[in-house]
Amino acid sequence: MSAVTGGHEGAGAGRSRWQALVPSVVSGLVLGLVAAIVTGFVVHAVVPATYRPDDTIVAAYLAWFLFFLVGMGAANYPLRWALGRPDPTHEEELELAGQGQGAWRYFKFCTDHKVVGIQYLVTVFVLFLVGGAASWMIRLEQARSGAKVFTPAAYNTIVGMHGLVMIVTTIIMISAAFGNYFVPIMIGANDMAFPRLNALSYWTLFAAIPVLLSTLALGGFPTGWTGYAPLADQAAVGMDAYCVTIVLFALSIAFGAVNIFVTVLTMRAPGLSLTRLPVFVWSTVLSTLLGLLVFPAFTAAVMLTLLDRCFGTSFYQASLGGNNFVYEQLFWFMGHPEVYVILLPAVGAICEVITVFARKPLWGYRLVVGAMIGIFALSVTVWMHHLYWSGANIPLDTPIMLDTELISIPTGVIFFALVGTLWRGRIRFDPPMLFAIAFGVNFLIGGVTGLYLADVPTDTLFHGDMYTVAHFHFTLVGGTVFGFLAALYYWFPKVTGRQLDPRLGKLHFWLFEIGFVGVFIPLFYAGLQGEPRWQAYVDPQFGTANLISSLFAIPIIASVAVLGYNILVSWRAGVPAEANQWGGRTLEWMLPSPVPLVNFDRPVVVLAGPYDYGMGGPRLMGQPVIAGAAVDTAVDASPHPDEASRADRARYGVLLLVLSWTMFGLAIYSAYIYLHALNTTGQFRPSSEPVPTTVGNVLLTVAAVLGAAVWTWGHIGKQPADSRRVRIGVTLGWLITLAGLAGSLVVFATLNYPAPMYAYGSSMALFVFFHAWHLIIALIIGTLVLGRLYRGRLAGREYTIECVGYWLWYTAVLAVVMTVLVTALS
Amino acid sequence: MTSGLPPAPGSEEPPPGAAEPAAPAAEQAPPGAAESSAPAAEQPALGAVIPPPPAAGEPAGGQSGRGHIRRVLTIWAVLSVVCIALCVLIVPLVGTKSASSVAGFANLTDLVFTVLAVPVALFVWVFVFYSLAVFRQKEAATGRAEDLEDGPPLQPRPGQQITWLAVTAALAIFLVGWGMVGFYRQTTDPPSNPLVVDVTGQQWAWTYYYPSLGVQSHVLELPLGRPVEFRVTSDDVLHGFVIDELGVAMDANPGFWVTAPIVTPNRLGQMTARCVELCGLYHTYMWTQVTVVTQADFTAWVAANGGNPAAASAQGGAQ
Amino acid sequence: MPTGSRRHLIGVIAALVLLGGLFVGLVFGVRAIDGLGFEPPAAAATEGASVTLSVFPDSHPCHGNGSGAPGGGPNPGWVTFCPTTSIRVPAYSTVTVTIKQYDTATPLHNPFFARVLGTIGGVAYVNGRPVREISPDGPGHTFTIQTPPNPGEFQLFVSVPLTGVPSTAPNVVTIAGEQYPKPNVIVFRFRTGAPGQYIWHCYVPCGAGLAGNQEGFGGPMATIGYMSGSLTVT
Repeated sequence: MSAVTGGHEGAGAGRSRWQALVPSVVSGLVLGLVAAIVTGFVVHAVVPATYRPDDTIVAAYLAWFLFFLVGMGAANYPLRWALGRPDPTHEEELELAGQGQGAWRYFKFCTDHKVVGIQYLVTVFVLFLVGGAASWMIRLEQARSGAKVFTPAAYNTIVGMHGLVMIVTTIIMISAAFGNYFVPIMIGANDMAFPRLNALSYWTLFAAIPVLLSTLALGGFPTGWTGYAPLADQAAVGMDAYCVTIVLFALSIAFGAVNIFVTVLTMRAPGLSLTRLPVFVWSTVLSTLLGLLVFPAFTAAVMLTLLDRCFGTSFYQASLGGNNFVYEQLFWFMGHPEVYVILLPAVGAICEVITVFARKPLWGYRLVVGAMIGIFALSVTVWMHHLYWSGANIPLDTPIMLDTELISIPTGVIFFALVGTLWRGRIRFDPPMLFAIAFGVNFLIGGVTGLYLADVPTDTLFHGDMYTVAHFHFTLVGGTVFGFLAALYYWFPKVTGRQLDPRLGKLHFWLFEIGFVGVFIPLFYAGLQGEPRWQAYVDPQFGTANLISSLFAIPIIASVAVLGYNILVSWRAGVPAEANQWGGRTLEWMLPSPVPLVNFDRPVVVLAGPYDYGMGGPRLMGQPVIAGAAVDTAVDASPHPDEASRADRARYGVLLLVLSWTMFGLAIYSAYIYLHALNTTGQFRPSSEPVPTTVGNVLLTVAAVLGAAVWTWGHIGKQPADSRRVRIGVTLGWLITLAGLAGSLVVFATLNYPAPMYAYGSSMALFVFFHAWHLIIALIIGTLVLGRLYRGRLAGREYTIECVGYWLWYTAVLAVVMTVLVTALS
Repeated sequence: MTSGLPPAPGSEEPPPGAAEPAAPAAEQAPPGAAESSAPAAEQPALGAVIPPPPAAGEPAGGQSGRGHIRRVLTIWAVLSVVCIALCVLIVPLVGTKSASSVAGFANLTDLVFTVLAVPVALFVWVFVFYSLAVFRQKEAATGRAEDLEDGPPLQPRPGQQITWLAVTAALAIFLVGWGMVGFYRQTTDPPSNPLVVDVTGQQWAWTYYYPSLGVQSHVLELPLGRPVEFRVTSDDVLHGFVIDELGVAMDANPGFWVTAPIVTPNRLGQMTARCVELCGLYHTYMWTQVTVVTQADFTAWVAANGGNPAAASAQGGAQ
Repeated sequence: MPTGSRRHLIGVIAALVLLGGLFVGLVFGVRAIDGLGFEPPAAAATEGASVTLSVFPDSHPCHGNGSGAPGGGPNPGWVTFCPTTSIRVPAYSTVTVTIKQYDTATPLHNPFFARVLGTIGGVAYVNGRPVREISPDGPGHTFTIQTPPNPGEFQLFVSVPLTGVPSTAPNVVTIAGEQYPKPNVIVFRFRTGAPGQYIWHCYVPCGAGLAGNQEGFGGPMATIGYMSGSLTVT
């Protein structure tokens, strides 16, 4: 792996095959695989035989992930930065963005947001194929009662793979694929706020895919996509692949969310006020932000599973003080908002499509945006409706029911806007519009059937039933996948410069809609008749419904073939697309198709709203600044942000990451409080597990607080980077943090709870380990800053000290909370 | 609202009349204002200002705005009546046959919600499909998408927005209220002295124990008319205990017991108890037969299974 | 245009064939992965509808090459039924099952499975003596047959606890090069009805697993070919 050092030849010069391969996906794969194998062997040799093989596998996965990224070249820029090398020149940035590399740039760590968007899009197609194949296998097995196409173990794994792959795919399919490509363009920017972070988010997801697929070789996982403990604790080694996939996926989502949020916050073109922001941008921002906030809870739940499996802790072992409610609450705290993470970008895409193809303003723009914000806010309060009959919260069933039904109000606003926008419009029936209309049909069915599940009496009948399955397929597939397809047909000309064949598009649409409705309506019936979920052997009583459902999978398979053929043929040899293929008003339609490397060679100013049809204003919502006119220099459209805005972006980005991590910490501490509250059997902490010493806790906390305080003292008051105070403060702060880390490792080593660990001991060990992890991260990023400081190159970058300070203070607050918890609740 | 720009010269614009009395969530329709298309006279360059379409007096195709609304509402009303009638006929047939008042109420809830949902869904769909059928785009003379004619710049009036929100909120509150009534009836004031059945889930079978009768069984037999309280637990992983016909649903959690709300079987017959939480390899096979029998048959069954028939036949027998 | 349409038609059909072929390939691929869904080859009942099985504390006596030959397979330490867990018996018959139980006892979590249920006469013969119920601490394993979800049809439920060998018993038998104690021989009979696909499973927590109340339910207890299998009535 070669660092991009200064003095390299400029872009476009001949490059050797070595320089093309390293760094690239090839070097990433090789390095990652080698590291995984070596780590596996080392851990296997070191860890005692009494431990299960989970330790080896998880260590191998983590090594794979880290070294894959190193092999991709993701670590090059941070290292280069720490060593104080000069900033990349404009030519080097363009080279990183893929200039002159042709199609190979899609296989490298490429920072161009359009490349990242296409990488996500192609990955989505591949994942859809995998998840779709799994769904066809499910229908194959369920077509006939008593069919033994797959053994029950294989069937459970297939069901779980289908669920997880489709969930991952539907989360990223619009907000990552089209969001990455179009959000910067729609706001008039030339790239995202953090282009390298963008590439990192994609390659993190890419690294998770082999991890997930490896479960097939390791015995699969029996829990379905929800990964419920304690079955997850009991399962064979393949379960670890599931857990690690979730951790990596959550990381990818967090990186992407930070990028989108900061980009939209700070890089909008002049004139683009928030009331002129296209609904698609709103929806992508809200969706990714929601994902950033709630996925840490899932990561926490899955991490506790990994701890149970690898280290023998007891978070989910009831007789040792654990409780499966912890998993359920954490999972569904993520699980319900997550469906809105999936939904919102589809709503945004639909709004774009129907306004363009009815050529009318969006009927109730503010109401729609308000509704999306309402959905965002309400969605984090309703998760317990998945747990009405779990026994966890029966007294809360009524308020949760109220909350859940209330979410139908903002969701209904979407239909209000759909109806009003179409009314008296000038409607065209191109494929994007067909899919948008089908969204209105399918999602209404899905949403209404959700009301039955939200209401306690009917949920008694339908929980765990095929009715539930049909409901969420109507919303997730009938709603959001149709939204994705609408977006695909709408934006394909812009991305590729070619038109998709409209007749094949309409054929695809009808095959898919008829097949989809035909698959899931019979499943509603089967659910009403009482068929449970996850049936490898279908009760003959439900045989007819399942057979009809499986037969309608055939049109769906045909529709996939049609789409695949259409895409392949059109991408290479389709009719060339016009710049404004559909007559839209948003900024991307101003640009050539496909969009060149530099989006806007002149800055753009926004003069009107994105949906101002029929109002006699300009044809598009913005236009390039006329040469010689004054430009608001505070907003930049070049790839090189100036220093002041760069500092702002860094601050927002780090704060968002801290916010996400805070949710993770909250999840872990809540789990502890919950377990303590549920401890009715006296098995939470037997006398064999002592309380950690108060002195140790207090010392750790003091070290964390002191480290943060000294670090902050060093730079507060905007000290210049070359001053003595900064040098002393930063170095001393770093050293104190190092001492704190050493202390926490000592405390960890002395905890010495006997096996089997009860829930209390598990929590104590987890807390100390958690605290140590924060310190390790602080030390790593602190080292980078220290390196550049001592090279004398930190001038103009003082905000990095500030950002590391945020993390240190966050760690200190966590330590204080931990000490209070441990002292108060034992 | 329309943009307020002056109309293009040469066309007439009727003064915007008073808005019609709004039917719930009715569309804004200035009287007689379906615009006719303006001929595309030139090809404006990028960013150029194009003249607004004339708000003409003559409606397109001979239909008036008010006529559109009336037609849509008529179609909606007729379809709603027809579909509600169909629902009332069909919905009771597609669910499981209830065997307790709890399940009966759940089935009734199903019907009531469907009867409410159908006109709401039809309202949206009739408007949408009517628009698709009637409000079509004409091909642009230049063939370029940018030159297509724009639709009228309509926006919802505050009254319409509030009406829509109020109606959907009222529906939501009604659903909640209904659900609360059901939940209240199910959980409040439970009958005393129920027959307690301890349900143990283990991968992959349900076993039942009647503590007051001393009977262990792998099938469930219940006497008609006697309230039953299921206490559910698991020996290993999470399971879900469900008897649809009785309206019983409760997760089996390892390590502790959870009590389901009491139900009273009110018809004889056979039904099934199933597991609805994926519990591993043979989750599919985790089901048992449930039979509701007369009190006499139940006493005989208890005796045959080594239990205490005297306790079984005593109606309010000591536990 | 007609040429274009015909080309598209051929292309779509070709894509459909390719996709279908890919799907079929995936189905066969998934079925071929041993670790995912191992189903040992079925052993048909011998003359007079008799089935003979053995239960061992490890896997050495069978699991060789995925069949009944000795070998141990990928998990030699796992308890297992040998030679196979896939059994085929005739319909509408009386089936006699003989099980040689070489493993020690593990306490039951659920005392229900200490009873003999569903056999002819309600008894099982342990070393020749009829038994209706054993102590909940006594079974090494159980042999429990269950019916697939098919409420209208013939319900088959047979559960027989297989008494464990005392842990102090000396190893006197050599099978496949390994030493085992003298087994308990349990014989019982049950009647089959209409043809169908049944499963059977052991209900003693004898497998691997984490500490606490989940102990013993993982590993071989959750894997076909060891403590779980199928009973096909033809």
